Amino acid sequence: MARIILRDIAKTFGTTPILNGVSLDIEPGEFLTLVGPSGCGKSTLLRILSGLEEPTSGTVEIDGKDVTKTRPSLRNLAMVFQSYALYPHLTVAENMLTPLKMRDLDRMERLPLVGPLLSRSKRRDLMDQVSATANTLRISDLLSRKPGQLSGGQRQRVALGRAMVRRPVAFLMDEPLSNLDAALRVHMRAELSALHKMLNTTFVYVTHDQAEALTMSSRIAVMMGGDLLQVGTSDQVYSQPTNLKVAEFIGSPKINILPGEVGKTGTLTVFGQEVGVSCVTHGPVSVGIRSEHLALTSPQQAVFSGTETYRENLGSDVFVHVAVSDGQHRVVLRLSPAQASSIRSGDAIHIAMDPAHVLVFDKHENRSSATLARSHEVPA
Amino acid sequence: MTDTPVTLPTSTFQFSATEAAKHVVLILGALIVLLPFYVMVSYTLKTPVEIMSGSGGLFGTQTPFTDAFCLKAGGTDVECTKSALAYNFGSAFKKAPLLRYLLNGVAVTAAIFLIQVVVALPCAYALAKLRFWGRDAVFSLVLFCLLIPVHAIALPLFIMLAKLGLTNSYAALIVPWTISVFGIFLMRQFFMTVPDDLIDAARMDGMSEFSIIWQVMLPTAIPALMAFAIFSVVAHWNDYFWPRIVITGDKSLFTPPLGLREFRAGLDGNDFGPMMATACVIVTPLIICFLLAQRRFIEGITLTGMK
Ligand SMILES: Nc1ncnc2c1ncn2[C@@H]1O[C@H](COP(=O)(O)OP(=O)(O)O)[C@@H](O)[C@H]1O
Ligand SMILES: [Mg+2]
Repeated sequence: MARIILRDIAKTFGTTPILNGVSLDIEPGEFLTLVGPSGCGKSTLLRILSGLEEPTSGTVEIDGKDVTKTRPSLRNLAMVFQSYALYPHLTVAENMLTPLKMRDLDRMERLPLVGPLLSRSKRRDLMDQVSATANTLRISDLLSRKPGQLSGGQRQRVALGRAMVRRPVAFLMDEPLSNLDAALRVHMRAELSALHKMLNTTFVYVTHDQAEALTMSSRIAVMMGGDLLQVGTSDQVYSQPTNLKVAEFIGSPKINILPGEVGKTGTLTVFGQEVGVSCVTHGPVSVGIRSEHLALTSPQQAVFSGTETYRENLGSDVFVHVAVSDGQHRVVLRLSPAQASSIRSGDAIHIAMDPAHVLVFDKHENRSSATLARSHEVPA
Repeated sequence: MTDTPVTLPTSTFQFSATEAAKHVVLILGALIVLLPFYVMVSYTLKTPVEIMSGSGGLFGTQTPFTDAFCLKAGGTDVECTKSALAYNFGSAFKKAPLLRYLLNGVAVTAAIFLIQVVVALPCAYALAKLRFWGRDAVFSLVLFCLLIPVHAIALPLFIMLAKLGLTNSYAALIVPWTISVFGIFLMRQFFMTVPDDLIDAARMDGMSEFSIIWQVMLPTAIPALMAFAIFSVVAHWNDYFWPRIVITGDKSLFTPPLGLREFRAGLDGNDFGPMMATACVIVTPLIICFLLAQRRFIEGITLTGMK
């Protein structure tokens, strides 16, 4: 378990800034996920943390020690790569043995022919550690195979095994599941979470898949364009995003964004209708509301209305895509199958917004505080 | 792949003019390439008389003949009557220390190839995977050096070696070839295809850059190295030009191609039979090596377990 502190990490490649001063405090034993769209610098940040890349400025601290200039292998971290990066010419056992050999045997003992004679007991000990790890991951029967003879899922486990054998203070994983097929990916999410619980070690996990981030993490760090936008638990980033970009990135289907206006008295209106929310800002705002907080209602109580364009039936829920009658906006409603079946195509759909879950963003895309208007505080 | 039954149409043979034309061209090409080899093998099977008169067909008449030189040297009729094959190969090994030449050839080509690898792999690794100032310029220089013909720099090289007193030595045969820009270029191109993640994984495991070269890059580069070995070994085993320049006196340093010179026109006329026997002996190891390497080559290509 390790506490990892990144302070003002900046990185430029040539003249292109990739990271603009990222600071992140990773608690011992937590499962922290770095999530963001492709190209936002997640891998670069992870590589700086691992020591494979040097930051242009800023420091990396592991357990109170400044390791910014320390070689990767001396930081005692283990990394799992997207492509698994197994040595293709070595068997699974040798692949898993390599980090142990490099750490525990000296130069003489690593020599090809003399080495095994000099360090027989040490090597047996290392091999035992490999077998133990292989048992945990249920890959014992693969130990004598070469990576070329393994399936994607098996290679993934071997890569995890190679990371686990050295008992690192933290695991770094860069999109480890993205080369797997969909079913296996969902299965491996559960396994990784279980592994995290069992090992009780810090995990730093990089993904561009917000669903993966929401399901596995203790905390999520949302990155975009080289900046850290928000760090928080899955619930926090989902229901209390601090930034419009975070709100749009996290959650599927995407959050509905509608234009709103805050009047002089602080009341929020959407399409000219009062929503039941008071704000401190004034002027035009963006109003975000998730699909499950929109509901069907009567024409009198509707904030806006529209017509169905498309529906996605997931079995348990139905996502109904609606073209708003202003002709410019589209929203998605999450309905139960019963509610959805009551809508006939071509019907006007009247929609109400749950004021308790309305998110208001000012013109700088930052979240602006919104409170329930007096008339809505006590449910009628 | 062939164990699934394939239903063939009833008539599988169809004459196609373009296919036939292609085959005619290919067969003609193959004949032109094979002709010198045919002459070489055929001459080793013929007596001097048959060679001179152009008789004896493809494989000679295989009638024993009497060697006039052997008689002159005082041999009996029985001793001096032998088959053409025995005569040609016998004189090849007797007249020139062919075994010595072959050993020289093996030592020189092996040393050249090994040193070339020792130099080229780190260079190629640096050019392909390390980021440093001036890397692209260095790589352009490598490309530029590929364009320089050996013969253009032979004279300065020879003078340098002569000033160092290194002519007529193994060093003269080996040292000028130890840095192979072609090798650097070929390995660099191969290393470019090795995923960076593999190298990063090795770094995380605690390998030094040199360990990465020898323990990670070398094993993954076996197919490319085989291709390079074929080029390097063939070029230096067959090289006549350079050994001819730097080995001026000492016959014990001759490489196999220089051995052929022993049979050129002399007082006793051309001795084509033994000369062709020598040529056979020189090319056989290469052909065997190539066949072995070819198998390993295909194995090597299927070895890749990475993406
Ligand atoms: N070695 C490099 N040289 C130049 N640019 C790089 C290098 N590595 C990454 N980049 C650039 O940095 C940006 C962020 O890359 P990366 O950290 O891999 O993004 P992510 O992992 O979030 O998809 C990309 O635009 C990429 O092109
Ligand atoms: Mg990445």
